[in-house]
Amino acid sequence: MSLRAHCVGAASVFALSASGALAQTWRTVDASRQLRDTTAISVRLEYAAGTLELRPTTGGSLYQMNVRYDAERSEPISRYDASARSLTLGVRSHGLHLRSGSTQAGSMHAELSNKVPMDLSLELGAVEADIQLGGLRLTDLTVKTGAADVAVRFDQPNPDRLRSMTLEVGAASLKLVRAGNSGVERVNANVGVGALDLDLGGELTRDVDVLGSLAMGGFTLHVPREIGVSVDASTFLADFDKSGLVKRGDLWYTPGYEEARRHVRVRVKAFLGGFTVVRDSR
Amino acid sequence: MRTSLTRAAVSFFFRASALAIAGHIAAGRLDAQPPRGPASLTRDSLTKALRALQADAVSLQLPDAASFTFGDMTVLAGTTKKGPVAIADGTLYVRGVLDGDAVTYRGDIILYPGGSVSGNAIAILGRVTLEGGHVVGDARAIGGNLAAADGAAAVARTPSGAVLQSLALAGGWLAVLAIIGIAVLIFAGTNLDAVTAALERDFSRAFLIGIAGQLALLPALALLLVAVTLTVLGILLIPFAIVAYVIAAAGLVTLGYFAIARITGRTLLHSVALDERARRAASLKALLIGLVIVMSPWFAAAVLAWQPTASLVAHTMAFAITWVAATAGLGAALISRGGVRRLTAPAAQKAMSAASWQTPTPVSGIAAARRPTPAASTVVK
Repeated sequence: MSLRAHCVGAASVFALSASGALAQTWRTVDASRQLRDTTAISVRLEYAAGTLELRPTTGGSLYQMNVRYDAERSEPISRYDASARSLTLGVRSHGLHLRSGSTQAGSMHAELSNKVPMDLSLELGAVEADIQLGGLRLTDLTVKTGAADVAVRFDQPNPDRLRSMTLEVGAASLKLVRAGNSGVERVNANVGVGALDLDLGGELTRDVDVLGSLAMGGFTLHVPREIGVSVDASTFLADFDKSGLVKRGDLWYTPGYEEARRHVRVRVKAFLGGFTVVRDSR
Repeated sequence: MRTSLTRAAVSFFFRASALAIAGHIAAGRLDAQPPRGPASLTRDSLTKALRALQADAVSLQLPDAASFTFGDMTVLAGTTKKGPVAIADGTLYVRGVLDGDAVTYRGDIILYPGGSVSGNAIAILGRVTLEGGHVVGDARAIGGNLAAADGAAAVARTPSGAVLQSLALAGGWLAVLAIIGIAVLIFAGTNLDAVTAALERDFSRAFLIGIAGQLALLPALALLLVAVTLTVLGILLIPFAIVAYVIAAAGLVTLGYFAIARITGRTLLHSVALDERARRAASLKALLIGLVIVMSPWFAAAVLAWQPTASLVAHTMAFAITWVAATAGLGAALISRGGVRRLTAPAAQKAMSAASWQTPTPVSGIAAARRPTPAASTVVK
């Protein structure tokens, strides 16, 4: 056989091998649970890969979930523990799988009741997510992202007080829009190599403490112009944009900080990342 | 010469991987059988479909296929029926109370006013419709391709499917190792020569050093990290240091494994290379044949995959053989500093140290002879 024939043969072998390796078995699961009471609940949503939509539901369900998943690579999770008042939803991957452009991605659409106070935890892998949490009765919120592209929106105010919001950003892009509506008191943000964009727009009903820790990623904090901001930044080879801020003592302040009705106090430690405060007009 | 090497490499890869892919395709054909049509639901096919779904955590509590009845069923208003109720190829109408789970396969569950299910309502290839009734547990509708996943699982469960899949896996590994081995031969041939020499010189020493190297892998990494942490800037390098360390360790083991394979192949070939080109061709041939030999325990284990006990024993033996080869190889790679340090035989070192070998001229020197000239002849006279 000639060299060319060998090469063609080897290429065919690769093609056949690839077609076998990409075998997929698509299934769908629609799951729901009717709302029995409005006792507080702990909700954990895991999603390994694909596209995710999360919304509040006004109907009589505690949750609704529609999932399309590849049974060869993943399995859906829908577990409710009545005694522990915990609910786990999502799709978990069986192991490490290489994704290909020709491969279809899974999807998940979930809705959570806006009548039940909840501690919500989102763990997202290689996910493209559009999450609307406005109107949900959130008491705690945790968002952990891997290599995800996530947008979290709070279009309506949270009827409850959100005690803490924990944001862990790996190599992802995480954007929170109108997070002032969430009623948050304290934000803990850890950014690896990704980008975190936190917009505290909306109805900010109380003062907010923001604690940020940046390794190599970027953190941009958007604050309405009428809100006073103080920044305590310790940086090492990191970039801190001080434009529009005034230094007093060890801290940086926005002009008219004392007169502002609401305050955002920021403490940020950054290694190689970048931190920026942007003051937005309404 | 390089073209010849490339041609031989592609040829080998094609042949080795063809075996693997043949197994893979054969296994794929078994699972590519068309799903059964709606009219052909039997208890066997129901059993297979339910077994496929058991793998999904979402549907762990499915009843046995034996408990399914075929056709429609109604829970009458004002009555209580003890669950679980499982039906196939039919619709479950709930107008009364069903105390337990409700499961349908290829059918819907419909709850009317006054109807309730105290457990979960699960419709496989169907829907759960609430027409005024309620479900205390979860309502789930599972759809999509159940038959194909079931077929794939069935292939793994049949003896021939298990053997083919194991053979395909072993063949795939052989193909990957062959490609890496060829690359090592081309780009790090001298390093491989040095590691091979260290192995040939003292196998048992290489094996013992290999064990010591394995035991020292984690402590050495810890030391490295401590050393890196001591410098402020070095802290940032910790992730890179860990990755570099793992790559280096894997590289040493791989280099040693290829050296073992080459020695094994060379013992079978007995070829005498006259020139550089023939030497490199023989080296490639020895490496590839050696890889086939050192991988052969895995192929033997794959052939025995149909019998669980024999398969376990064979896989254990294959693992043990591979571990010995990799350990001795790692030891040789460590002795030769990754093939950077060239080792020479003791006799050769002794000969090199002799002064007579280093200079063709005796150390004491040679008395110079005076060339006869006419003037000198006159003096003698």
